[in-house]
Order: sequence, then structure tokens, then C-alpha cells
Amino acid sequence: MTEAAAVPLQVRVLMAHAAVQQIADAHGLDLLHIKGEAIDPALAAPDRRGTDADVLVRPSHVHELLAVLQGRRWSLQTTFRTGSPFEHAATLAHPLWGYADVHRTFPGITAPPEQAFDRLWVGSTRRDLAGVPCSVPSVPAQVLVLVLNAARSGWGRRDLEAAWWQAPPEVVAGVRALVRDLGAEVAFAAATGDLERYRGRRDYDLWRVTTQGGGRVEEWRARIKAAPDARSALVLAARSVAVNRDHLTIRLGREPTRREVLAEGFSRVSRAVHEVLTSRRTGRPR
Amino acid sequence: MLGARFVRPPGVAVVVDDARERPVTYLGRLPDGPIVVLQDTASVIWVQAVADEGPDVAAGVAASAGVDVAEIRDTVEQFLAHLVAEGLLLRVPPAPDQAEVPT
Repeated sequence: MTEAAAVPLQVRVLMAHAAVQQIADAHGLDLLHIKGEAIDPALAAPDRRGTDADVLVRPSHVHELLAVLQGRRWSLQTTFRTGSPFEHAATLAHPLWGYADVHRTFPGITAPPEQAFDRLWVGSTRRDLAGVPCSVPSVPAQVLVLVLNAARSGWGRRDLEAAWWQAPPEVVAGVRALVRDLGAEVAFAAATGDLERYRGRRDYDLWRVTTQGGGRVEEWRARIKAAPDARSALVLAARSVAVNRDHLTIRLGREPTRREVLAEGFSRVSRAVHEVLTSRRTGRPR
Repeated sequence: MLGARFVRPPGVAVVVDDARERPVTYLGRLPDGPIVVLQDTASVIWVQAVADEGPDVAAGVAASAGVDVAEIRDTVEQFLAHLVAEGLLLRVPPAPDQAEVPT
């Protein structure tokens, strides 16, 4: 009997799911395990393995979950604001279990977060991960999450093939009902190649840039346009010139100095100016 | 330890890898760790203990290893006691149909 350092990644990811579920249960917090090791094996692409534990948390429980995780050897790596352009997940790391992504929303879902979680909670069930019963969404909800994830991820294209294009009719019907209830039409269409149907929608540009690529200026413009209200748009606009300190810290492997933060900010502004000038010369949409 | 029954303690996560040549069982104490790795015979004993295939774990291990149960009984039972003491197995009362019948 040994305590080995070389534990396979898949084992650590499964145990991360189990550890987070145990903590959630102990504190009465609702969460759903999504993607990776948590998905139904029938939906998984061949050779698809999770590299971290993804959980979607009831929005009103997120703050408490982050607090209790950080009291149990989990450390915050990126915050919601700095984790991704969608500001949907915070990443935590544990010295044994590895990484966990705590989602407060899922990109592509436009319904109010608490209402969206309630809808996904309906039909959720328990699935053993590392021997521990963990809450997972219904099969149609798992398919929806994989499809929406595929819109943002190259790897996700293989998930799309296994989970959506081969789905039986009853699952397809369930997914379509969820797309409607959760207001996920545009992102779903972006993943399944039908985005042009939604050209007039506020979030069309965001998903066009997400699936087809674009520069930073184009990305920020699309994010601001997709914001649900004027206040959110203003907050995003103010952030568009700020430096993401978390990512800079990860890139440097240490806390950046004030000079490095300023230099990074200057570099970002330079890139943005370059993109604007280039797009003017080429006529590419800005 | 005849008549005993074992289950996974609720605070222990388990991943059994029996696809490789040498079986391995990973036991993680929740929620903080550590991860304990049982290899080879140790893995077989833990898996047999929770398999719910009858109260005689040593007999099950002997059958799967192709050895005489008398040769390994003491070792298996000492190891089971060690796992229980470490909190990696939970000893519970035998199921009604597995209880020893007085003669």
C-alpha cells in the first residue's frame, strides 16, 4: 500500500468530481457535473477524456461554494471576470485532484442564470463518479451542453458528432425543448452550422466571431453588442482596455510587476490599433 | 473474519483499474486527500471485500488467484483489518442471508 505521486490524470479528475460533490452535499449546495468524465458514456466521443472537473453551480450558491472550496486546499487560478470572454467560469486547482472549472452560467444560454439552472436541474439524476453519486443533468441537457461547448472548442466537434448528429429522436426533441426554454437558439445554431438564420439577433456577431475567429476589437465589439442591457455593455466597454492580470500571472509563472502590467496594456492597445487599421485597409467587418 | 461484510466508506472515492496487467485500486480520502494506491494482491483484496460475493473474502481471493485459501487466509484477514483501521474499508453487519447459522 503506497501513496503514489504518479496517479493518472483520469483518476484525479474523477476524484475531483467526487470531492466537489461531497463538499457541495455537506453545505447543501446545488451543482451539476457537466462535460468530460461526467457525461453519459453513450454520448462521449471515442477516446474523449476529461482533463478537469466541470461543474455548473446554482448561481445563488456560487459564492459559498467558492469560499468553502478555498477552505479545503483549492486555490483560485482565474476568476469569472478573467477566465474567458464569456465570464462564465472560475478555475480552481487542488494539489491532488487537479483542476476544477466552476461555472455560474454556460455560454450560449441567455435565460436568466437562476431560471436556467432550475430548468437544467429538472430531470437531473445521480451518476457514480469515483464511486460517489454525483448530480448530472438529464441526457438531453448533457447533449445541449456538449453542443454549446462545441461552438467554442475544436475538440468539441467530435463531441458534436457523437452526441448530436447520432442522437435518437426522443433525445433530439428534448434538446430542442431545452434550446427554446433556455434561449440558446443562436449558440446552438452556431455549433450546428445554421448561424445565418439568426443574422438579426443581438448575439449573432458574438457567435460568428467565436466560431469563425476574429481580432480582439471585433471580439469586444461583439461582446458589447451581445450584452443584455446598457449597463452591462458599459461595464464590458470599460474592461475592454484592462489587462487580464490572472492570465498574465499564469503566462509569467509569477505575479506581474506594475511595469509588466503597464507594458501588457500598451501591447494590447497597440494590437487593437493595428487590427482597426488592418480591417480598414482590407474592408473586413470590424 | 468470517461473517464480516465490507463496504466502501462514504468518505472514500474509488477508481479501480483492472484493464491493465497488474490491477490497481486508487482510494481517495474526501474531500482533501491523500490518494492511496493499492497494487496487485492488495487491489484484488479490496475489490473482493466490497464485491458482495459472500462473507469469506479470503476464499474469493484464493479462487481468483488459484491458490489454496488456507495458505493466504491469515494474510488476507490481517490486511483487511489494516484497511479497516486506516478507514479505507468499513466493516458492517452481515446481510441476513449471509449471517452464520449456529449449529
